[in-house]
Amino acid sequence: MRIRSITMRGYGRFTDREIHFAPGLQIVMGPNERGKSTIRSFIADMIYGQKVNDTQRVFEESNELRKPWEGNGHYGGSLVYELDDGRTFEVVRNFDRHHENVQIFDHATGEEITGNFKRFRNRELDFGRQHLGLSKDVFLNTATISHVTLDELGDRDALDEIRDKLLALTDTGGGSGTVDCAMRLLSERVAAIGMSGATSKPLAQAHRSLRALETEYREVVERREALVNMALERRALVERCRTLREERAAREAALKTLEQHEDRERLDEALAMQEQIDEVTRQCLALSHARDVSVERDREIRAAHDALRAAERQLENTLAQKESLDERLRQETGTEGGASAQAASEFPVRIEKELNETLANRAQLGERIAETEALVQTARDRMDEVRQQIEDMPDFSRLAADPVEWLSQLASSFSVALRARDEECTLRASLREEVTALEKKNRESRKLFEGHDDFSELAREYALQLRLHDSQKEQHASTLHSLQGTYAELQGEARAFLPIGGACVTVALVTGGAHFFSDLGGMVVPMGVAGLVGLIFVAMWATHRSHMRRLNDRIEDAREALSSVSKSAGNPSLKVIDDMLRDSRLDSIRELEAVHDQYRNVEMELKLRRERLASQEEKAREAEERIPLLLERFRETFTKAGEEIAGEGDVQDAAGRAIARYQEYRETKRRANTNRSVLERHETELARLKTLAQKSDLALAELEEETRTFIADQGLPGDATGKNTIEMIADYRSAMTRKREVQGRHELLEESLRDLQRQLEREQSERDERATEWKGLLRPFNVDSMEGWEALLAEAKIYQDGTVRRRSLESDLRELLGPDSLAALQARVESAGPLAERPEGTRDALREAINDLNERLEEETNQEHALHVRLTEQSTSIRPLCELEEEQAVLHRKIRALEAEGEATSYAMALMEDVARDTHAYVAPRLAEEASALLAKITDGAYDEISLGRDLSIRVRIPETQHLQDAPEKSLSQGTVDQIYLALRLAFVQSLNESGEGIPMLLDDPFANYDDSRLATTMALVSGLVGRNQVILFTCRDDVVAAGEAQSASIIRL
Amino acid sequence: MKIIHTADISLDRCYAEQGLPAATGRENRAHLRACLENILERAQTWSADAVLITGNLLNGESVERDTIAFLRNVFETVSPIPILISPGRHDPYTPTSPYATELWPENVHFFTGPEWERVALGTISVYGFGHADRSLPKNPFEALHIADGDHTCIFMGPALAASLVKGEYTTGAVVDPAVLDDPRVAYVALGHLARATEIDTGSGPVTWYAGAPEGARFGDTGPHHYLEITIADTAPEMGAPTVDVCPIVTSEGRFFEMTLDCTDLDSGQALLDAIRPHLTAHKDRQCARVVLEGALLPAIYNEMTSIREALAEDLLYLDLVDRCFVAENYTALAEQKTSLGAFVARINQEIDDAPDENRRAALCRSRDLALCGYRGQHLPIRSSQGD
Repeated sequence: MRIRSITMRGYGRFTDREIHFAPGLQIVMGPNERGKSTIRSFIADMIYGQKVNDTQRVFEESNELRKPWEGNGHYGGSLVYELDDGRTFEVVRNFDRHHENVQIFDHATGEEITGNFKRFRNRELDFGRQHLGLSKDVFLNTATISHVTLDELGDRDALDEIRDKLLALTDTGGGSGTVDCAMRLLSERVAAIGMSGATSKPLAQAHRSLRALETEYREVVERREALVNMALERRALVERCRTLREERAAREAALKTLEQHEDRERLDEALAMQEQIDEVTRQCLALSHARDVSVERDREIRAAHDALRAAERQLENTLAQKESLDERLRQETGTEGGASAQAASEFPVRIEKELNETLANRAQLGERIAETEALVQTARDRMDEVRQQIEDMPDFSRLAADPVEWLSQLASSFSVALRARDEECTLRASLREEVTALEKKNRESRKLFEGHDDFSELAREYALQLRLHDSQKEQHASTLHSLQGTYAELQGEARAFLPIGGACVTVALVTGGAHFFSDLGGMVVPMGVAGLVGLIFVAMWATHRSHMRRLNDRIEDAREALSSVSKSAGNPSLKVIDDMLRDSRLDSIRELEAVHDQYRNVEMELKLRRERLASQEEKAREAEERIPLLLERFRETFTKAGEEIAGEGDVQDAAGRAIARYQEYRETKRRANTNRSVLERHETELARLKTLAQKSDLALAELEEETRTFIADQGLPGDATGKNTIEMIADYRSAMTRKREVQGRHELLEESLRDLQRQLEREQSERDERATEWKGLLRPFNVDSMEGWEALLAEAKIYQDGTVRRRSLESDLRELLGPDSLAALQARVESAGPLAERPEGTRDALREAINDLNERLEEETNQEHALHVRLTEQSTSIRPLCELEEEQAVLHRKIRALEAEGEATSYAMALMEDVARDTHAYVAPRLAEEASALLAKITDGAYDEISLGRDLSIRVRIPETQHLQDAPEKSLSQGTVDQIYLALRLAFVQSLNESGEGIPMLLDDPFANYDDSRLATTMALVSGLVGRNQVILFTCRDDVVAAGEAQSASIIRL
Repeated sequence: MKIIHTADISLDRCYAEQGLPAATGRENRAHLRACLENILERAQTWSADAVLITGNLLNGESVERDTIAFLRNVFETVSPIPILISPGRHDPYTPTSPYATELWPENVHFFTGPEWERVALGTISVYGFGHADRSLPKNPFEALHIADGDHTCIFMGPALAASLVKGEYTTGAVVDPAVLDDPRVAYVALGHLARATEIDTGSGPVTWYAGAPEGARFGDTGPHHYLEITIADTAPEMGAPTVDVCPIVTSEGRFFEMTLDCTDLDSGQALLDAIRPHLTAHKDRQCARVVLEGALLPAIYNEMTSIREALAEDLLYLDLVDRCFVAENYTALAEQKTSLGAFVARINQEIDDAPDENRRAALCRSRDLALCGYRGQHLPIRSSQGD
């Protein structure tokens, strides 16, 4: 297979990038991070897709990684490849998950042949494997050969590492998976399961647990059988208990019959006792009126009667004392006469109090009126002073409603205007600088592109022409290469023909001479043959020479055509681009396009900035003109507030000064108002005080009149004496004191008389209480004298004796009846009906028998209960059978699964080992043969034999010793080891060619450690492989490119 | 008359065949007890005249003592409602069975053998039989004689209806209710089938299987029932009594089983999302078996533990059966000119030639293990399902 071209419409860093590959050795040169790996990945993805496997629609990570960096809506592209049989196909893919698509076209006819290939259930087509005979992994790992350094391989075991890589390729076609690794993994798996009898592993543990469970199961079964026997025994015990209960019931019935007989006998005795009780009851009934008389109360009644007699004697003594005191009071009243009949009245306290208060108030009012008049005068003086101050200040009230705010706004607006002017000017200066900088920046580009507005069109035409040129050049180069090859072949042949022809002619001449001089007849034929052959060879030589000359002419023509291919020949407009490239010292049209794009961007930016600058110039001018106008207007305004503005910088200070003056003005106005209100308040207070003084004088006059009238009414001289009101009151009070002394003596006698009267009333009350108490004690017994009481007391004593006898009889009856009542006993006896025959034995004997049965029943019940407890205990101490069976089943399944897993693993290991041995035995000699030939060519014969063991262990024959060296890296240079690796890898690819399509080899800079000589040799070797395999070599090194060019390799620079 | 009919409760059932661990089995057994308790509670609230249990109340003779105590307790609770029990093929009335060795409340009656026994329930007579061992006559109805005084009868017993028998059936009794051409027979209560099922007897008596009140194995999905039967007790001259049978749901199904083809699943989350809707459709905590089939990415194998844990959250028990193979085109791989290719070609041939499914499955597993070994991938050990 040969990859002819790829078109990456969108893939990683590439967008609409088309690359054509030479059919032989193709070198792709580019520094790191220019997309060499992306191209390799693109080739593999185009052939095989990006699915993880053939069975599932699961994408590899590369689907995300290789998404286009720049979105043009496409993620995919196309690839054209040619098979060894000459058929050419074009694969078109879209990798976008949502628009995933793959199509195959026959490139010769343009016909879509997608349907000719099997499509997997994950929508992938199977053409890659059909055409190459390899899976994607194998293709990538075998066809891609990278540089391997000893550092990467390890210093000491480099060949072992190479062997591992070979093994991986042989075993899995992958980068790392080998049979050894797989065997190691599976061995670990077997060990983890524990197949070999390890005691701590899951399988052994499961077996052990199962054995323990089986033992437990057997024990549980045995114990359950014992439990069944116990259950049967318990059931028998329960039956015995039932029999005992029946026997006990019979005994209890006999006891009941015996008790009925005894009840009847007891009833007869009880009825006789009841008759005696009834007789005593009748006797007591006759004396029932004395039933409630208490003998013990006799002493109490007699004591109450004695107390009544003592109270009557005390009352009589007190009445005698009262009559004596009445007589003495009558005598005292007769000596005083009617002097005390008229009682003297006290002078009213209210009038005296009001009089004193009114006099004091009037004095205080006089003092306060004098003080207030002084305050009024002081306030008037202050008012005059403040009014004078206000007249000396500017009249701010005419400036504005709020001069402070107004002045602040004026100052602020002036500051804003100043700031706006400064900002506009700063912005204008900044824009001027930017415009200058942009003009300077684009000066060179303007020189280059000025006058070439159609540069984009020119560039597109130039790129088209360039691709045409490359294509022509490639065509001419290919022709030249082919002609040179043919020429070399003819030259080689011609070189051989001439000596042969000469030799034949010589032989003919010799044989001819011999025939001529010795007349040997037998010489004619050899002479003729030799001559004829000689002539044929000479003729062929001449023909070849003639052909060579014509070829030489064609080679010259081809060289001339190759050298004459010019990008801009005959197109003057494209000459402009070349001139531009030369002037700008740029290498490619892409770079020039980039510079042009930058130039256009800067020009557009410059235009924008200029427009902004013009606009800014206007704004700045307006801002500058506004300041003087404002200043003039503010001067006029500030003059009204008493301030002068010196300049633009003084506006803020002048505003501050004017505000301070206004605040002083406002303070003075406030003081004037305060003084006015104080004056008004003092004047009001003075008027109020004078009114109060008048009212007080009127009240004083009224009180004096009232005093005089009262004294006159009490019979004393009023204002006839000429005294003032206070003195008249004092005279009135001394007359009143004398009248009260006479009245005191009468009151003392009357009080003693009232005390005696109260004592008399108390003693009469006590006597009545004693009488009531005595009668109260007798009243319950319906008697009202001591004689009646004594007769009743004798009858009561007879009644109480009868009662005591009856109670004794009743007690005896209760004892006989026990808990039953007589009626209940009688009812029971009657309800028992006819009595059965009296059972044998006594009640105690029967009870004893019943107790005995109860004991036996209890014993059996206890046994049954004990058995039940044992049953319960033993059944709870064993695990349920079903749980044991379930656990066993789980373990059985686990064991089966583990054993199956172990057997599957062991079988896989055995088969893998077998297959790998066969594969290695088949591969090793072929690989060694191919690799030896390649190594000899690479090392120019210095090393010519590589030996591979059955396990692909590598040995190299050392030229100095002619021995196969087991560890050749110890005596070989790093470069030689690299070459051995390269030889083996190339041989491996060659071995894949044996049964299928030639595989394109993707070499990723594998010549890092090669010296120039070996590089040239290896490049020649690689070049020689192109007969079967296309080789695409990715490199970033110029020496590799030079070596490739020496081999006529096609070069693509990224 | 109101009667409750149930059967095949199988208390102390063993779930070893289903592979359930003991703890899960224990929970299921407790659930069976709860089912019986609920049925008997309903008998009380519905004021049922009798409860008929037609076979397999217990699971074999190896019943636990606390189960017997439980039964005694719940039967006493519903006393005096009569509880008539026909021992079934799995719990026959043998001398060592708990029915014979234990003491039972007065309201419990066992039909102790294959001969018909009559029990009077008011105006209705119940004729029943039970297993005394594993053998029974083919059709017990042939030996039945209804007493002259009976005018409404019920027959009960654990047996398979003749109409359901296919081929030779030797594991239990077979009855044919259609032979009971007697208008006095109101209802035939049978037990042997897992599902509540009515038997078409033509002009014969109304015949039902109560079915088990709960499922017993995976695949036994869907609801289970017991039956509430109402018999209009009519006078003899009025003809056959009217019977109304109403199946009542006891469980929505404790067991659930599904098979999932994992071939198109690209992650563990996708696998989880594919299974979850099936499990969450059921409100009860279930025992679920999920069989995974088809191709599975090795990466998903490594998530299997967390997948199992996530699924098991809402379940009583989860048996996640892995029957998958590693997602790979083994046919294409066999064509690869490598040791791996040769190995796959060899084992593919062996798989094609495998004598049985077990061998084929083992070889497929060997192939998966080898492939993952070659690629250095880890495949979890299949120890057993459910753990």
